[in-house]
Amino acid sequence: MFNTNDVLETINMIEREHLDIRTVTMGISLLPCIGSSAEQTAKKVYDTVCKKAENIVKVTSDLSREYGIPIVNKRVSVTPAALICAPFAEKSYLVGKALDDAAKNLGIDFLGGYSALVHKGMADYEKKFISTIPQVLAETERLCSSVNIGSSK
Amino acid sequence: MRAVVTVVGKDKTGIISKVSAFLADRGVNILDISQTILQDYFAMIMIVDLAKATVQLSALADECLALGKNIGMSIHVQHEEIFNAMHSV
Repeated sequence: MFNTNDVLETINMIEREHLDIRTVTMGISLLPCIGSSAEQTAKKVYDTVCKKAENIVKVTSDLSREYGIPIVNKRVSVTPAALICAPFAEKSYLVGKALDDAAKNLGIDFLGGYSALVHKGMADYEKKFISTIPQVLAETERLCSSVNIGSSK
Repeated sequence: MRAVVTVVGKDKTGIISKVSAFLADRGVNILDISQTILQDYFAMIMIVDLAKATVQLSALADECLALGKNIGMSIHVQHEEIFNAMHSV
């Protein structure tokens, strides 16, 4: 059934050459979290992320043990935050902190999505959102940010 | 559920008997064995069935690692799916 060489090659890949799964990422929509204030939205964002991803660390750990392959990073990816923060862009940092707090609470390595998509032009709220990025990144630990400025389409 | 058990290390008496007794104690059924001795080194690959096993695969993997340390061999247990995924299209 199995070729001896294949088996030894696979063992070698994992044990000696350190084959691993670099990341498992869970995508979470934050659209239902848009509230009537920055504070309210930040709270809903925190609760939603913590609830949806509550098992990610345990499940990836179990999978890693079951298959004998290390899983290096656990990650959550969310709706670009600029959209969620549109009604109160100057206070977007509250959502940024909420996302970072959620990441720490869950025990994950990265949370991506403090982002804006401006490749088709930049609206006023997006400008304001982008100007909050330096402060938010300086004050958070696990949050990742990006700004999409171009597209081939 | 099937797994692949590999035992590698310097040849000595009792390897096969210790490993098979260890697996039998845990309700693990050995389906196939391939074994070779190259100069001083012993390498064995077993396909095992865990349908009636008394432990989960991950626990078995940990216990086999410990057994390996005890008898001076390197013992790995892995889900057969990994080998299917790597080598079959």
